Amino acid sequence: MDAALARLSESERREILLETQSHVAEQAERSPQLSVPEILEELGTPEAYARTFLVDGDRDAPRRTGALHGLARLATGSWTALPVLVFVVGFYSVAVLALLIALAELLEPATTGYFVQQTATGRDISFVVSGDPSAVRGPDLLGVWLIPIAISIAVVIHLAMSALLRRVTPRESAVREPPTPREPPRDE
Amino acid sequence: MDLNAWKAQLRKGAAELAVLAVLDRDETYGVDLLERIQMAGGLDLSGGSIYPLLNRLQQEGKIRGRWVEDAGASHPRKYYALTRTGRAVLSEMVMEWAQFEAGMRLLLGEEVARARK
Repeated sequence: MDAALARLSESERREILLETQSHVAEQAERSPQLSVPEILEELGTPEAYARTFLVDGDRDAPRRTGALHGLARLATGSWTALPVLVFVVGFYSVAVLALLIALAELLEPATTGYFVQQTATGRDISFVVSGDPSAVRGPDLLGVWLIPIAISIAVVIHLAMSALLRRVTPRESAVREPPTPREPPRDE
Repeated sequence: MDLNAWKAQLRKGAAELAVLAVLDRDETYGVDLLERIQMAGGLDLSGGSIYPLLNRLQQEGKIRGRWVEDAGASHPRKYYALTRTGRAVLSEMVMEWAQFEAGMRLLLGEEVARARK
């Protein structure tokens, strides 16, 4: 059952398992003639029972799977998520840089690009993003193709990071109460 | 027509209302909640369906749960209570249910009387 609930967060999974244990203990106390397997039988197979939680929870719960939401979940999560957070932020920085290069190519096409200069020792290729025409030596290798290439790089990074965030961030859980018993019941 | 599928859908929709209604009266735990609904009859809820439902209602903020070391039991129990959101939702659901019931009673009055004979 624990394996079948793997999509849920650790706290939610623990909560469900504890409540199942509590249900079995309660029924065993109320109906001593029932064996534990008989009580469990009423819940269904562990896999089917676990699936009911996933189906019931997913059906109506608001799904927030955007990259920003995933980043927020990572940033406010445990320290073990820090390497993934650094990895994702690093790649998004590259994506932003690619978009800035595309913008520079659009605004300053003459001074942005891969410029190739023939020298005595061979070809000297330099990448230039500058408003200074003196920095440019030789013809532009990519020309306006730099714009779609840079945008494509940014889009691919975004798609890859979104997919990664969907995999590593657990489903939103509203289970917040600690699973250990603490207080006496409230009298109503 | 698959009568069992229709019955399942009918009960599924009503189960949420029944759970909220019981929790509106008392804060209680799963097995007790299940027993009260089963005693009322008609809904056919089981342990396999009530806990996923409670889990979802908690996720939606309609109820809240807390673990309690009850003097009357050898194990901890998770007690559920309605939240303010849950109470507002219940109030709307009860109004909808009353309209639905009145309409169906009007439509099915004769058939129900005939079926009861």
